[in-house]
Amino acid sequence: LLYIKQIYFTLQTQQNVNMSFLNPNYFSDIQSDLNPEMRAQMIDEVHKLCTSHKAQRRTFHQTIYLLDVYLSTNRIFTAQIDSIYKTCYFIASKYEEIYPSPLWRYTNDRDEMQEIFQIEKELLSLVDFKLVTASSYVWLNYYWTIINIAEKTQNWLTYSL
Amino acid sequence: MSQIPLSKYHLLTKIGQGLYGDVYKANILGTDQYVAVKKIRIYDVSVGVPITALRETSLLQRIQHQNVVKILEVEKIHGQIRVVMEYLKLDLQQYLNENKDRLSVELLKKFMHDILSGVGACHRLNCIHRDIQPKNILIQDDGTLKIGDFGSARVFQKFPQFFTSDVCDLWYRAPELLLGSNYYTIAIDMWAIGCVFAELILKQPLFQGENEIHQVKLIIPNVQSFQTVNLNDPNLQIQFNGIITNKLQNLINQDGLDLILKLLKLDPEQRISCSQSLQHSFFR
Repeated sequence: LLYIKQIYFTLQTQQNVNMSFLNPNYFSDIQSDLNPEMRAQMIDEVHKLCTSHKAQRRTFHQTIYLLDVYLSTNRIFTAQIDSIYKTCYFIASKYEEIYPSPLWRYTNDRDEMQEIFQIEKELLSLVDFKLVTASSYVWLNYYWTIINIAEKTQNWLTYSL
Repeated sequence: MSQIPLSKYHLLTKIGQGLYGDVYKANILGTDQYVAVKKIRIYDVSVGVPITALRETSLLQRIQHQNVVKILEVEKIHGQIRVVMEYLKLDLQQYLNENKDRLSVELLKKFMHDILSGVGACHRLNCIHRDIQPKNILIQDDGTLKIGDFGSARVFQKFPQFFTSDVCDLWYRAPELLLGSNYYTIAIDMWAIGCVFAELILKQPLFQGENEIHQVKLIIPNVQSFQTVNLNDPNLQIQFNGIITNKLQNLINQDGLDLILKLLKLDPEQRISCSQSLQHSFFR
């Protein structure tokens, strides 16, 4: 297949770039108001958003990456959780989807919208607009283009990821 | 007294309007270097930072290549986001309009080499440009070509992937897109490069369709119904090769014609890739 080797190296460097934005121990280092269970809840919420808007799978993974980046640098309070995961989904859906889901479909609150735009700017300058990620889903995609597996297996793998 | 952060760049004149904001010519304070500054304008309150801005900046920062426009800095000032890029005076379209006489073979070789290696660099970083046309190819003072405007570029994760088929300028759109396919590969960029190559020789666009149906008819003249077109039909390919050969025969040598025919294959599977075409005998 075309350029398969170069893409492998690209993904590897991309992964290193991605990792440089993340802090694996952010719960103990930065967050005092947050615990791992709350992150799990946030991911559940993101998943609900993605399914209700029929988002693509890669949007979901992008959202979680952005969420982790934000959490590993900014100390947040429980009250902010809602607007933060919504912002992450907002950016990811704009970046990945053909027709991004409009903001009014998941917020009705004017203040919250303002907050989302604020966090969006903050987050974008935080990652320096480097939105390209090599998430586990990207790697999975890469491998199955090489080995050429059936669609059924693909769906099963995506589900189990 | 608190200090207001000042921009390092002094905006001079507005040189154009991009998809998502105004582009200014600016110089770096204290030097005489020129840069282009794109102000990202947030015009729709419900959208936030525009999609094209997100994609362009995130992709351009990854691609470091001499034939691709460089992003120097992303500057945040007074709540605005400004993208600072290198300043290039001319694009290929203006260049073609100004120089009426035919390009020499040497120049053609250099131009095509630059375009192919620039686009090849994108493809290696798993990214499709999706909008290659002379307007988006910029010329540096020393004659080097640089690919610009990544507003509609995308990262692909597997090929072929599901995307929107409404990309590319109509005249440079590949036949599989015109027929409404949502699954396509980097081959659509190669078709566009082929069209640009022919345009460099002809000094005018190869297929100038008025709308999508007209455009298909220019490529495949005696089409009966759009549903039944089979792009890997060898007869269609032979017929199509005949059209191209007629148009270009006396203007280019045999190697160049061969390269064009390889770039303009109707079947995306058979279309040549960037790295293959750089090995082509035309460049020797």
